[in-house]
Amino acid sequence: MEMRRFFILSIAIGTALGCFLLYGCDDEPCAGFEAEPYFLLHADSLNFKVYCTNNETGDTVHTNERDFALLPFDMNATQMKYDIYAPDFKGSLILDYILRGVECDYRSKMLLGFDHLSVNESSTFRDFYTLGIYQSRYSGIRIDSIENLADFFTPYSYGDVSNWTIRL
Amino acid sequence: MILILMVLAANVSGQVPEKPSMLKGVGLNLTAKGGYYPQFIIRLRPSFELQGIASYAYHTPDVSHFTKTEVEGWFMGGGLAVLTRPLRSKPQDPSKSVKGSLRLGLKYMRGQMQYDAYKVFEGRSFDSYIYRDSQQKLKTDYGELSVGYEMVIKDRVKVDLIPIILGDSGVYSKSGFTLPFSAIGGHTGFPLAAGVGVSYLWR
Repeated sequence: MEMRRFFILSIAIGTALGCFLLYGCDDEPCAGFEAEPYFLLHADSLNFKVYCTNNETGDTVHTNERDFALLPFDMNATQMKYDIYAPDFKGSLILDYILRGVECDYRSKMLLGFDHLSVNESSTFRDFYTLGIYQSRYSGIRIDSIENLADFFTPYSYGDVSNWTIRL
Repeated sequence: MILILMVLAANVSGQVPEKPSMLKGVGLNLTAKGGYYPQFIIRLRPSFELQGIASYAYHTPDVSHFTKTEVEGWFMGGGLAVLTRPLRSKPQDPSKSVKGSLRLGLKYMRGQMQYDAYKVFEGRSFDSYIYRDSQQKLKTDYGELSVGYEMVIKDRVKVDLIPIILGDSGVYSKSGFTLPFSAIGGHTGFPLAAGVGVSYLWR
């Protein structure tokens, strides 16, 4: 009798767990941007500037001096160059990319994602930190090579913007 | 299908030229949602009517994935209408100039359509970006069930009043979205419409 009860209980729990897992899979958020893609640059010092340049048309955006800088991708270009001054010129980060529309069933929307994203080897600034728990460079992981940058900037790494924040 | 029906009509009319119950006709149907289609009809029996139909539809459905979506297409196919009055035991009064019948219609059409959709992604620092999704020559089917009333005036003019048209057709976009589309036109939601048709008849 006990065995039978245990068997029925196991089936019930298994079914409930299966339904929960299947339902949970459907609720996965979509990776993509609803508007102009960007990543964040954070610095302990307020005294830093970034010039974001679209190499194709020459448009340049100067980010304000503040704690967090929102560094945009020009959606009509395939390469962006970010010249970073903190406070002296520290170097340029150059990203090559191709954008594409991404279907999002969960939110029933079309989002913008990266079909291709890579760090150009002519980048001269290679000394970032990932955002640590306490927003301190010492709690983040140092990114000091093209290989590390390439691992950080991948087409699938932007799902959560908080994961796509770098620190000086 | 229209050609087949025309040939069939010609052959049949050649073989049995004086059959009084055989009506032929051409007409135009309009739907409340903006679709329209010409039709060629042959009434081989008093209670059955065959139809050859061509349809054009254009509409701009609201699809949440896109800023604007335009869909248009052509359909061709055939239909069958079943008329109630000839099925009744009570015979029609030949002296009446207007004869009315309830009718049940069934249609099937195969179409070729195209769509052009785009979404504007707003730019904050740089210009906005327009993502386009369009495809040509997509094949799709259309099925329709209708209930209505028919009036034949002096065996020359037929008026169809069809308050209930239930029909739908859908296609998948390149991105995998279902684009609502119907040969009855203007379809943006539930595939229900009303229609009216006028046809010229001869024997």
